[in-house]
Amino acid sequence: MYRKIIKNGFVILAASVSLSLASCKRYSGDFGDTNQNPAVTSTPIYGALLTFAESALGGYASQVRYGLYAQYFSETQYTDISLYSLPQLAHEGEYLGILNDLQNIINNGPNDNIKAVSRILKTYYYSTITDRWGDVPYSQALSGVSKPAFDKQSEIYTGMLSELTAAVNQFGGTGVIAGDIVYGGNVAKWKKLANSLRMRLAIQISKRFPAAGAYAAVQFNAALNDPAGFISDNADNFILAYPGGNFKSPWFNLYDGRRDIGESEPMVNLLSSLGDGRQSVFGSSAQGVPYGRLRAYVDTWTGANPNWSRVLEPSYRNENGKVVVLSAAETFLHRAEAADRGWTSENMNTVYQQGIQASFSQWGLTAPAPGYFSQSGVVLNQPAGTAANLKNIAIQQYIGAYPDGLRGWNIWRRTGWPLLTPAPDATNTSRQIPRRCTYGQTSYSSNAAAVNAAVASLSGGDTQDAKIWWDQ
Amino acid sequence: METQGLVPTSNLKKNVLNFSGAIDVSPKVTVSMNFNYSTQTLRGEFNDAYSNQTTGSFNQWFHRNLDMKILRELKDLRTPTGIWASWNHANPNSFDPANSRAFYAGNFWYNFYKWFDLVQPVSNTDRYFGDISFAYQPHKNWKFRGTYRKQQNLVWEEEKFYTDLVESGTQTTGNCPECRGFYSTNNANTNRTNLEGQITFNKRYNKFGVNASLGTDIFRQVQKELRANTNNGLSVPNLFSIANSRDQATIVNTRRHLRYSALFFTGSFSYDNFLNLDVTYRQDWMSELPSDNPFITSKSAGLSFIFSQLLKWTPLSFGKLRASIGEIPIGLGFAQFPGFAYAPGQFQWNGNLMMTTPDQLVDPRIRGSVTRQMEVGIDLEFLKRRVGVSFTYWNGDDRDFVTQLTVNGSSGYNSLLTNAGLIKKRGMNFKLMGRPVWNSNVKWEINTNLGLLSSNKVVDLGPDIQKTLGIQGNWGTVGPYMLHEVGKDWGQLFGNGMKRIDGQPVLDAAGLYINDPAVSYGSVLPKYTFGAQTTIEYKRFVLSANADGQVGGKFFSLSNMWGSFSGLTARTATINDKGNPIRDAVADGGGVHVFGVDNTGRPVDYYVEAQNYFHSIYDRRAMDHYVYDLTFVKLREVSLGFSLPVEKWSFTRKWASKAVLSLTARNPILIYAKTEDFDPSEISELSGEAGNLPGTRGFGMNLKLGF
Repeated sequence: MYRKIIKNGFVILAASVSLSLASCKRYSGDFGDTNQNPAVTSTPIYGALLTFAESALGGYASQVRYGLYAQYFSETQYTDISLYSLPQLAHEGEYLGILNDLQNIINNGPNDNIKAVSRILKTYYYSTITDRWGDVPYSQALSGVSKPAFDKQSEIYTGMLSELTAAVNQFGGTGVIAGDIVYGGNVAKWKKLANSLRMRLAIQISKRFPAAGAYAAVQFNAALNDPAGFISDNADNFILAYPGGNFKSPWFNLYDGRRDIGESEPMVNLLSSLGDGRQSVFGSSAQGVPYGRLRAYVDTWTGANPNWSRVLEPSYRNENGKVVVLSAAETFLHRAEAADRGWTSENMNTVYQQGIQASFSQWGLTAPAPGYFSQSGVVLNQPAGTAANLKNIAIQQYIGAYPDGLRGWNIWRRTGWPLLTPAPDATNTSRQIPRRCTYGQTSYSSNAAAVNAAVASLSGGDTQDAKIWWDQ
Repeated sequence: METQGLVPTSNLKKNVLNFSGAIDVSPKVTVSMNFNYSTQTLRGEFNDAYSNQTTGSFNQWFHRNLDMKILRELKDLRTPTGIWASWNHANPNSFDPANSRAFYAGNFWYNFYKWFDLVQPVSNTDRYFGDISFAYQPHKNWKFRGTYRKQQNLVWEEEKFYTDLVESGTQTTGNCPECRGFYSTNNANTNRTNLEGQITFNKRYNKFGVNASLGTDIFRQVQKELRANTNNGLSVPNLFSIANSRDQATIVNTRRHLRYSALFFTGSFSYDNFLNLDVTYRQDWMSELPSDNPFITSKSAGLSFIFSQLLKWTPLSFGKLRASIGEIPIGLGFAQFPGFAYAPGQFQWNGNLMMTTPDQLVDPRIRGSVTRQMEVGIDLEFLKRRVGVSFTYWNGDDRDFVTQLTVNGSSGYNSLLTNAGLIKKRGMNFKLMGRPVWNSNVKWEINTNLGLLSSNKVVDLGPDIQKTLGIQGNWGTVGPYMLHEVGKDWGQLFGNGMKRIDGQPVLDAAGLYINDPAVSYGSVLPKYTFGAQTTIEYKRFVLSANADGQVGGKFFSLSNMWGSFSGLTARTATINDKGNPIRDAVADGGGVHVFGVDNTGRPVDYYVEAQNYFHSIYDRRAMDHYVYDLTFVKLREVSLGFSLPVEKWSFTRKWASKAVLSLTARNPILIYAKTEDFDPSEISELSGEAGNLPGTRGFGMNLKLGF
């Protein structure tokens, strides 16, 4: 018995020693695939990057904050943004996600067509960034420089316009645009979008380049006359259609739980002063929410007026709803403005009326009666080329851009129309509507020298009252 | 063991079983085995993040006029339409008899007591661990030991949110998507094994002693997890299953593997029992390190000298000098290298897969690192151990540690995982022990300690880096958050605050503050920590108490931010220097009297309407008002015990050897706190709190029996 135990003991000992020996490989550091995460791949699927980047479009074209600055909307319970609390926001997250995915496709993507699409999308996203903050990283961004310098907005605009031009020319060959949830890989539609976006950017800098023949007008004409054309039919609109389910329309989400935002009283009043039929879809009722009042006031008011107008008529904010990012109506109205400014020789009144009709039809509404066009708040009764019709054109652009708040705020900052009265209970120092967002914490903590250089060129420092380049 | 929690419906059940045994199968061979099993079930909802349904309401968005006893009494109250009644209604002027639910349902908050019936998280952990070892001693100086260890954790978790919540609330799902009705489940299995072998040589040569070992340790860990949750509510109300998810359910499966192999030497050398030297040398090979450089070498050494043995000076009963230096190996964690990988998103957009580019770059030359700490100290005891004192100086340098170097996000990436940096820590520790009275009747002992963190400096964060990104924050980057900054102490509270000129806040023409986006508030760690403990025994009574405290360190309180915004905190209901309530209109002599300077630095002061004032602090991000000092002194526990004379009582004598009945008070007094608004000894996060559950004061009676 005793011998047997001893013998077994040695068997265990021998087994342990041989096990240790078998592990000798590990003393050389060879652990095989132990350290590999089985749930990831080192090779991206470029179509999947594109789908992800496009899925963000709807969020960009439905930003509530700027709709509050533009007075499309009012806050209904916690008034904060509409009293102009500090808009200190970081831009870095936008580069980190979507922009870098698009840059990844541009650098490494499988064909010219998907690369050109990515350049157009990248330019759209960049335009929304510079329109909010002004000077931001551009030429050194997304290029491996760990602390990119901030570029002047004037240079960003020049860069974006030439990027769009180059993108239109880059399309070619039979390369498939995989994962394109907006245009389904239709190259012709992407080219039209690129030209319409060029027109939008050229018009946006018109305060700096008002003259016919100046940079903005030249860029506008180049896009207008590009053989690939531009968006002139709602069927070509740049739209993100949500599938619902796990990806719901942001306008559905706005009321899926809370009720913080309503259509504003100034917006309802503007539409009603024109007898504008679009109010029937822009809100759930004709009772706009008072704008820019303290919580105590507006909370009592909404309590007494429970049918206050929600943003959009309910059937326009289903979970599988659509968000329009750039439309035929917008492009027509940009052409009307260009004609009014004398940049082009198009028939101003024709494209103007086409723009208004396209806007109605985009919302599924029948075109307004002739009386709508002849009223003083709509009619263009000054000669084209004089820039004397700007007020009514801008107001139609502003109505047509609803509910894309950033577009509305851009139009107001650029043209001063419609006349907006700042929040009566504004809590900021100037008590004026913000002209820009201030730089976020991330810039100050991780790119201090560059952000401070950018701030030095802002009049009055990094405030919400400093005007960005195209607003000056 | 079963414990009921203070939070309603919370409880903990725990059972433990262990077994150990050894058999000497021969004089030279011993086989031994340990086995432990524990099982634990924890129930209860302990959320202390923003907008949690207890303190998240009570300290930030509550009505002070509500009676908690009545809330508890009316826990099961239903409204006329059958939903659970809440205290938090829409404005009375909105009441519509045709739709009474819109008024009666909880606007943002439920009755707290009902909430705990309707939210039921449970987690169950079964843990098995043990070892079997085989020791063989062929000679009295030589020993071989082989050990196999295994630890297995099985975790099962589940969370249920009843659909009643969505029916009984109107805007609650905005901050609580689970309130639509929710089910989640998680199964995790972690299996760790070690195979160890060690040869030991142990011998005394007259006054010299040697104990040296050579060993190996082969480790393997496998972790598997399968987690799922419903999205957007439950299709069939109150049916808790993943398949019952209204939108497609989220499913996450995780597999992590770690292995290392190590060879080590340990040696212990002594001379005449007063001089001791310990050394270790260890080489690790780790799976988580790059395969072309998988090593980490770590070393340690310690020397101690009991000089009282040589001095033979009677008043000194014990005296020891000690010095040591040690290193701890640090790997990278599973699959951090080579990193930069793409994961397919679970949900597809109309059949289109989604992916995004990783945000972190990984240095291809990354390697493992060690942290190193050195200490020297002296321990002295006098007068037959009636007085003792001990002093330690320590320093530690973390150099070229594995870190995520900050990269500005505009580059497309937010960090680079690499080796960089230098953090220098220096500190001292004093301990004092005294026995002022020590005789057969009275035994009184006092122990105190004082820790000083003299330096905790971030010297280097890598090339051209001044600050890290936010490491921990309680309100994004709107509230002050914690980061590291070169040239300053570890863990700086940084971010929004007031613009100042020569320390004075700048006021605008309305008397309100102006933002400065880059204010440094100081380190979140205290400079000094101290504690004291005393025990007095008199006959059958034992009185003991302990207190602790700290000096220095900053934190940000979100509860105070929203509590002041909404008018819940005491500071929003004070009397101004005119003797009037600040909530009265300025025109009537009320308002907050605000002092500061204008933008030229000239002193100015204003009376500002109280609500405007407190809202503007948030609107303008003048967060200085909600940053506090961590300094406090607290009496943690006092207890009085009495030993029952069980040995004398005839009915207990046979089975009880000892019985102590004690009365205990936990957290009886916060003796001092530099901040009046929040107990700084209870904050839950590094940089502050977001809706902290409060500290609790407890009184208890305890009977301990010895058999």
